[in-house]
Amino acid sequence: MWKVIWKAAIVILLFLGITLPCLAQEYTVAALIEESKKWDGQAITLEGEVIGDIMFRKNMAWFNISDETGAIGVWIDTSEAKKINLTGNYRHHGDNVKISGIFHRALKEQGGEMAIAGESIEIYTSGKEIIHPIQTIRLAILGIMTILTFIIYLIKLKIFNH
Amino acid sequence: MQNSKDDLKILAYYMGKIVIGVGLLLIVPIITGIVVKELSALVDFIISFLLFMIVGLVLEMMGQGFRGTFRWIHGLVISALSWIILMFLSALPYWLSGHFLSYLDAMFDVMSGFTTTGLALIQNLDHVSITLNMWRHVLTFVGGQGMVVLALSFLITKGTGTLGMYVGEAKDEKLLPNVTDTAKAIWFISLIYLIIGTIVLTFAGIQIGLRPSKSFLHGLWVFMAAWSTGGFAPQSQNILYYHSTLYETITIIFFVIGSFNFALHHAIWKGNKKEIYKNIEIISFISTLIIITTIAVELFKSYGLYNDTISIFRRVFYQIISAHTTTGFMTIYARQFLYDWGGIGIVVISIAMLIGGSASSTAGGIKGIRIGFLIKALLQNMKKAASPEKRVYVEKYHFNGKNVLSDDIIKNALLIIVLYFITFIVGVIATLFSGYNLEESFFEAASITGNVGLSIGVTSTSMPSGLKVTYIIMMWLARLEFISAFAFIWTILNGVRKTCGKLFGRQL
Repeated sequence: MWKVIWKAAIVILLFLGITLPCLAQEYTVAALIEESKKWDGQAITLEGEVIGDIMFRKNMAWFNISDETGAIGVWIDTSEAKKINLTGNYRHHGDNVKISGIFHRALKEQGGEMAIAGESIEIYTSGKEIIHPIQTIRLAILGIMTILTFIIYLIKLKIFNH
Repeated sequence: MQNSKDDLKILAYYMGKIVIGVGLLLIVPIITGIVVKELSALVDFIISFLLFMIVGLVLEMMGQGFRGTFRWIHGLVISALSWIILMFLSALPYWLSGHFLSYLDAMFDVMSGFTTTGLALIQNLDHVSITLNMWRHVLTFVGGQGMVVLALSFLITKGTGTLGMYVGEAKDEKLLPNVTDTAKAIWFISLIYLIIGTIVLTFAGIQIGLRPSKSFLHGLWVFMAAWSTGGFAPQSQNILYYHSTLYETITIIFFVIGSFNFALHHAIWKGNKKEIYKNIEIISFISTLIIITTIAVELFKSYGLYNDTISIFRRVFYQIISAHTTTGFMTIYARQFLYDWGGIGIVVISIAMLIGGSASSTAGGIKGIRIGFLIKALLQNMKKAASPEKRVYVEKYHFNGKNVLSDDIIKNALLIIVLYFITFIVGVIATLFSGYNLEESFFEAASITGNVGLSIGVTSTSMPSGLKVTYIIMMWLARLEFISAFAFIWTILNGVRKTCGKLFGRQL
């Protein structure tokens, strides 16, 4: 009986030993900034949407990744950056990516910037178009206000002329 | 002001003109919306434009046929009141965009833009339409020169009250004998720089890897925010988004120039280049900048976080000069102030924020000229104390020529400094009572009082509504440098007193 419990305990401990560090690798931008001293120089994996532009600089590139807590810059090899198809803006939701790399509290090569020196990118959801439909109610309000403005303007002209 | 019908008519008439004037600015985002085919945003902006026109026309009609003269006090009250009415109206396109959690948040961002503070409660900024971003930056650009200055330039040309309106917006330098011509000169200077700045930043944008069209838009917006010492940026990471020494250096040049007195610009424009070396404001600005930078650099040397010159320049000096010119551009994350700068660092940068830029410029804060007066007055008193009793000292200062530092000038400067400190202390207490710690309260209150826009992380949608309202009032008071705001408050109190007197059948 004790042998079985003992073996089960070892299996559970081994399982936790393997999985817990992996779970701990789930970061957010806010957590990285708040605990920058703790994560400085650590290998991390960050998930988020690529926003704005990919700025190519010779063999390397800068882009910014945003999760619900904030946005941070990623400095990465051009070949990896080219994997990104769509970046987020008004019309698009950018590719959702998983970045693996080293978090730096002050990346010396980049003027002391807090950033991720990325090693690899994995796209787990492709970006998509965002539709911004015109609301009918707003069109109706626009029509009413146009007529109202015109009437007030005419009244004003009449008063002025009078 | 007697709060008579004619007084109210005068206020309504000129308010109407200002509302129409600022409303016409909506044509810029409307044209942008048409060009970039953002139809949903376009509808929101046309609705907002029509609202401005309706309110403006109604006000003008209400004020039609006023008798009496447009006096100084009218101008002061109009200045203060117009900022409040315009805040309510200008928030409409913000709110319609769906990027704000409440109308109060939208008004906060408008007041922040108008006062060139630059703090923002906008949500999901990285997915904002080009049309809305254009409006955000046009607001802060116009706010820097002054909405009343805009109206004076193009819509209002007569009456002695125009000077009151101009002064009411915290601009007291008359570049030209006529106040309307002065307003036009301010706009002329700003528009020339707008063209130069946009071209330079567009090329820099292409150089750092932005697409040409994007580079142009970002160049235009970042220039508008830099020149007006506003601090807004089209992306949530502010200037950090660009990851570029070149881009950061160019922004420094433009926001420093933007923080200079328009009278200085005009003097240089007229060929008086020596003014820049002698001007009391420039000397004061450079002196305090050197002192604050030295302290901060020594501090960071002891921390060991940034060990090379480029890092110190981009992460320490940038924040200091951005704070000192009250711009609010950031190349670090807000929470880094709390975790990386330490208590002394926070105090040092807060002092820079409170001192601010030049008077009659786009910058906020106490202003370098007042600090200069204070130091000169102090030296004068020390000399007096150490000299024979009969000796008379006349202290002079250089500002567009030599001027005598009179007791009245010192008294006025001291009064404004005291009012700034009271506002700052109220801000600290309000922030503390909202549950933030002393360092956070000190920093954020200094940023709000100086109309700076750097944040330590307090300003967010989750802060209490009461604190948002307090910050809105603080931004408004500080930007107008109190005088016109007090004239407005006094007028309201006077009106309430008279109304109560009438209601209760006696004069209170």
